[in-house]
Amino acid sequence: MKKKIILLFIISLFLFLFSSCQSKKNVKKRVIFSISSDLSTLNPLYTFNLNEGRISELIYLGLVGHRWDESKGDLKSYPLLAKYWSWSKDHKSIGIKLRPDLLWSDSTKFRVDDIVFSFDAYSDPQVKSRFYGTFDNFITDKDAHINLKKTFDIISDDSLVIHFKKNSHPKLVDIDMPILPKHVFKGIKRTNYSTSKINFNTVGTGPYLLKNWLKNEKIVLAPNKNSFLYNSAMIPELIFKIIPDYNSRIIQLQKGEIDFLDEVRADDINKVKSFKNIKVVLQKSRTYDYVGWSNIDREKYRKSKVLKPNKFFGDPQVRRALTMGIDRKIIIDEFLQGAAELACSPVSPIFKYAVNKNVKPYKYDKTEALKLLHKAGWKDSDEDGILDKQGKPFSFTLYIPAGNPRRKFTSNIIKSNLKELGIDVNVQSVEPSVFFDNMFQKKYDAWVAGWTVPIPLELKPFWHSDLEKNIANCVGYKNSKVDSLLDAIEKLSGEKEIVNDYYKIQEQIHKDEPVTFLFWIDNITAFNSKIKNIHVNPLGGIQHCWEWRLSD
Amino acid sequence: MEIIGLKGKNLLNNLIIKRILSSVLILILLISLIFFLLRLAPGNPVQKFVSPALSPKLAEKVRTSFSLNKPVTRQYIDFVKNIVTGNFGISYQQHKPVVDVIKEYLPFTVIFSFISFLIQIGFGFLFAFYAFKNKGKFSDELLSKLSLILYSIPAFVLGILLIYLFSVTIPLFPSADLRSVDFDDLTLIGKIFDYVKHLILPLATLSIPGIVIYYKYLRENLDSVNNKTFINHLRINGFDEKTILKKHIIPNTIGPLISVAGIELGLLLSGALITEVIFSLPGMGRLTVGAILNRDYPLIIGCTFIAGLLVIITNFLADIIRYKLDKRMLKGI
Amino acid sequence: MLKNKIKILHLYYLLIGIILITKYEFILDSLKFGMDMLKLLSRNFTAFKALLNFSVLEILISLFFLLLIIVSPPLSKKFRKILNLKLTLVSFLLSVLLLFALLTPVTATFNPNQIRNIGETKLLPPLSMFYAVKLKDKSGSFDEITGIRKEGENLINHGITNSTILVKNIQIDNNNIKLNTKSGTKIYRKDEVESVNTKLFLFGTDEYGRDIFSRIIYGTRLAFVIGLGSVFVSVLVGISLGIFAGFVKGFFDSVSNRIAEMFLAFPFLFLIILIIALFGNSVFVIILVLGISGWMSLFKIIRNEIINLSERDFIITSKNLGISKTKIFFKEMFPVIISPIIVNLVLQFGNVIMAESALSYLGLGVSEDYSSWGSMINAGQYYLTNAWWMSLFPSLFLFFVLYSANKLGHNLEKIFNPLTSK
Repeated sequence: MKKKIILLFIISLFLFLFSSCQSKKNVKKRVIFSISSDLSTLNPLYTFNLNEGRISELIYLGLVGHRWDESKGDLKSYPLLAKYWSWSKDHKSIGIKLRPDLLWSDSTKFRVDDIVFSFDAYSDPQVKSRFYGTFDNFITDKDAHINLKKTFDIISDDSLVIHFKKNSHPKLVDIDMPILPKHVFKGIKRTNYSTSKINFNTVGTGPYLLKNWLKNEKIVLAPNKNSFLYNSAMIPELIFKIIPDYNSRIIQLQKGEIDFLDEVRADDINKVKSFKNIKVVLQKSRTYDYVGWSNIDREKYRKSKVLKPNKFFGDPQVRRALTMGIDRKIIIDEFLQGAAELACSPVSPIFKYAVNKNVKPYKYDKTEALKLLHKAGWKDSDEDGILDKQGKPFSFTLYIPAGNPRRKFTSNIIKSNLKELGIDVNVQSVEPSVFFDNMFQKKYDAWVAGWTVPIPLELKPFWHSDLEKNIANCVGYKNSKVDSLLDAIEKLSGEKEIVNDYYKIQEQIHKDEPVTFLFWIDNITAFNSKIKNIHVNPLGGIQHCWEWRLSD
Repeated sequence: MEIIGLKGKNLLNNLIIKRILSSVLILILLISLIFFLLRLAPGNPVQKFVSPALSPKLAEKVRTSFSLNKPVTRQYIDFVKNIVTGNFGISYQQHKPVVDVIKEYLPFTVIFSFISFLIQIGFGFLFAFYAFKNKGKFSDELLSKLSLILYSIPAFVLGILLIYLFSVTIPLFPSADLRSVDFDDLTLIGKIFDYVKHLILPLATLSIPGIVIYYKYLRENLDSVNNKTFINHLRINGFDEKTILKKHIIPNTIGPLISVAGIELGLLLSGALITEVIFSLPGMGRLTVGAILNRDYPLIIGCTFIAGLLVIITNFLADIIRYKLDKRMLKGI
Repeated sequence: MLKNKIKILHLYYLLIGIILITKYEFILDSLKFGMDMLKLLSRNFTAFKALLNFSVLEILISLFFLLLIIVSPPLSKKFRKILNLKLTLVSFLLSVLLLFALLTPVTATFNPNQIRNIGETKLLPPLSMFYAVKLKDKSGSFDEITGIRKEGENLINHGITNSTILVKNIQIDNNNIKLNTKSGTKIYRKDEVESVNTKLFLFGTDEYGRDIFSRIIYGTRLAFVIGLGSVFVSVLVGISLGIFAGFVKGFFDSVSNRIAEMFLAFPFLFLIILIIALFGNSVFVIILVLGISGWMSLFKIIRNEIINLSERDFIITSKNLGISKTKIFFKEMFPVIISPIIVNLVLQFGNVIMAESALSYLGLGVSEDYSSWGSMINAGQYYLTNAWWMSLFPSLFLFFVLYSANKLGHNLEKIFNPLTSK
């Protein structure tokens, strides 16, 4: 008897569960984004990761905002917290007038002090913010900490002047960072900023506020009624759902459980397009894959910091030959399903104003490649099928970061293509954190990786030969012409001259081919068609999402 | 009688002290081992906190602030000092004290494992008992065949199988997460059912291998106790089967079961890790794997410390309970 | 009954037959390739060395194993004895798996890591038939070494090279071959095409269009290598420590015993994950780590047996007779303790394979250069709704190995120790 009652109970429980599963579809007004991993912080001082930055920008605003100008292919700045700004005649100081009646979300008045405090905090070595060490145009002490007295002139409660260093070339991006609420940070020790509870209790000026954060589950944002950007038609709830696995994201998109997904894989385009109510946008990206060839003799560089050509890849002819010998198109066709564009220089096609159309990718041409290699002295003199020069066979290890199938595929193609030229490639995959550490420390001769070109366009950190300062120049590329052009661009202000210099740089880099440029991979974004007024652009899909509206 | 009791108590106290001392020693050895392993490992854990635009000099400064540049012995002394005061440092990834991070994740794993533990013991006992009563019959044979089959299915395969059956083919239960997105809008009963709905498959995945182990162990034990001479004596003396079973056979199988349970609880932690990954549940297992993959040194040490502590505590409890049940075992410990 | 009449011999004939019939082309080609390589070795050693890599070596080795398996029944009495055993479920599973592990490239039908025409070949259901259309090489004539190298590459990739196109539908008319792909139709003249073959994806393909059957076969070999390797490490550590502790006793004994207990109590998966995440995931590291984490049970068995035995009369007598310790160990003790060791090893083998697949499932197993069952299952989990075969087949094979190991251990225990089992 007892058993039967228990059984009955269990059965009814299951029935109940079953029925509760078929609950009605939720019609609440909101947008659910998916992100691949949980954020560590929303405190703009420490938003190192891309998603952290994008979400925290909705909470903390800067003085100026940016939109993407599609026709020109560059940033267009517009006033955000600032009402307007004006440069001095010598372009060494900038006057800023704030919007009137700015309020923090806790209803405290926004003051000029907040701005001064923010610059102070960002440049403080004790704080170790993500911008630390980037204030080259400011007057700083030897620890790169901004000198507040010399830099800021507070005119009134809502206007101030910022003075830059004497020989600097300041730009608007120099003052572009989220402003922090001084009254909230007051009383916290600077070294404790990164661990303080304020990371989870956001007080901002932006259109959204953190409402709820369930670790490893979701982050919920709600409108900030105190913000000057507030509008009652804004989407009343933004949810960032953490879904680590790519395919679950796709499935949830199909089921309508999430409304927005970026980084859709190219081979899923057709599938995602067929989903109900889902729009797909392809966007040219600023991220490219490349094969890095160490231009320099790494041993000599490590010992005495001199730049001597690498025994394999020191000769531009050889690097050009290697590029010609790799069938890059096949990777795009086979692996990326055509959702990419061959690259030939470090300037992304999104920067329409700066792209030199005369520079064209090298064609895949085995015979021409072999000719170049012979010219550079690489011949198969001992007839073992492998090229050699002065008794040294052309044989090297190509490193790739583990866990990336595209890199794996690329490396296989490289291996078999170069084998046909008589070059022996040994592919080795390395755990990513070790890989990137070694890459920056110049421990590899050849590797496959990717770079993202910053917006606004900046080439110096990647291609200037001052290797001590520019650690991103991992291949050790050195060309005095490029060096001087890069130095010149920093000082130029006329757009025409800058573009002209960019053109020349592209020509020179293409000639030297310091790395084998592979391709620019399209960014594929999918979102629910109920979202209106959305403009997917290179700055990311969710930028300006306070302007989105929901259709009924 | 009294003297023996007193002696036993002293022995127990001694045992407890000895156990606590050796446990502390093991824990210190364990985290020291991990500390040195981490320093030996290749790769730089703080590289991602240094922006590539930074000049090497300033970058070096940022790196120094994580105090990974000091000599290892110096680091170790600081580390031990901090641990003694209960300070595990600050998680690189989460920008929070390790203790606070663990506080968020630990309760789930403890509750989840404990429920599973009860299920394992309960069902394991039920099946073993059932099979024992039907000894030699078809159902006994079937259970022993089935147990070998289930024993050969790894937990993650089992989890995927359950997802395929009860989430993909028949959409009864969700395949991931602890709560639904609408959780906050639900009523209290709705919330409870939301939890139950999400936890049924993970609990099944974690419990089934454990049920099989307890079943196998108990089934064999029931048999061997049943064949003991004193049981046969009781039978000859005319005690009825029911009393023999209840009063003599079952109590005699429980003692050893508890020590098995102690070891099994340690394994449960590893099992919980895999289950949390399969069903993306927010527990210690996923926290630890994430910390290891991100090279969050302080968090790794905190997590392993907690894992080791849990195992030692459960083993300890198991021994104490076993002692209470059977004082003769004392010599064996 | 027919059931009792089926011997392993029959299975042997069947499997060898299947391999010879379906793969005769591959076998002949690799024989020729082997000959060419030998010829090259005699003339030009540097060229030979340059051509010799792991993929080439494994083909030659598996070819050697195939010949060995074919010629051993008439030559070896022991082998014949094994073949005459009754075929049970366990012996059936073990023979098939062992064959896969020994003859990996010969039994596989694709290169397990090759990605080709991903748009066409990804996520194909089991038993999909494809046409491999091979275009003529335009580069013209080449020298002998290049020829041998191409031969080798052809073998490594099972006939699918960079000039091969995989398509589901083709139409052949008088002069043209029409390939119907998802992205459109391509037409080739007949004289542009070298050959058209059919290819079967027995267990379907994964998300990158790789053949699951071939990946499982390579996974079998990996599982066996890791399983046997780790068991060997455990044996070395466990036995040496066990014997030492058993004989020396005293301080060393109690210390090692305490360490073993500590190891037993610790949730080892955490430490394994840590070590692998920090020190890389080469096969060698995995074998070492799994081996070291499994020595405790062996150690305990051996130590307890030795201590028990040394108190027995016959051992004490031999000691009093002045027989040396080593002699006592090998003559008197070894035969007694070997049976629990063997049972333990078989079970340990299963445990190690289970642990390895769990690690791969967590993404911490052997690097992606090798296809491991665990990582295949992990990848398949995300495609459960539209590609069940991706996780089903590797799961089944994993289950087969674990089941055979457990069942074998169980049976051996029955044979060695009939008292404890029912």
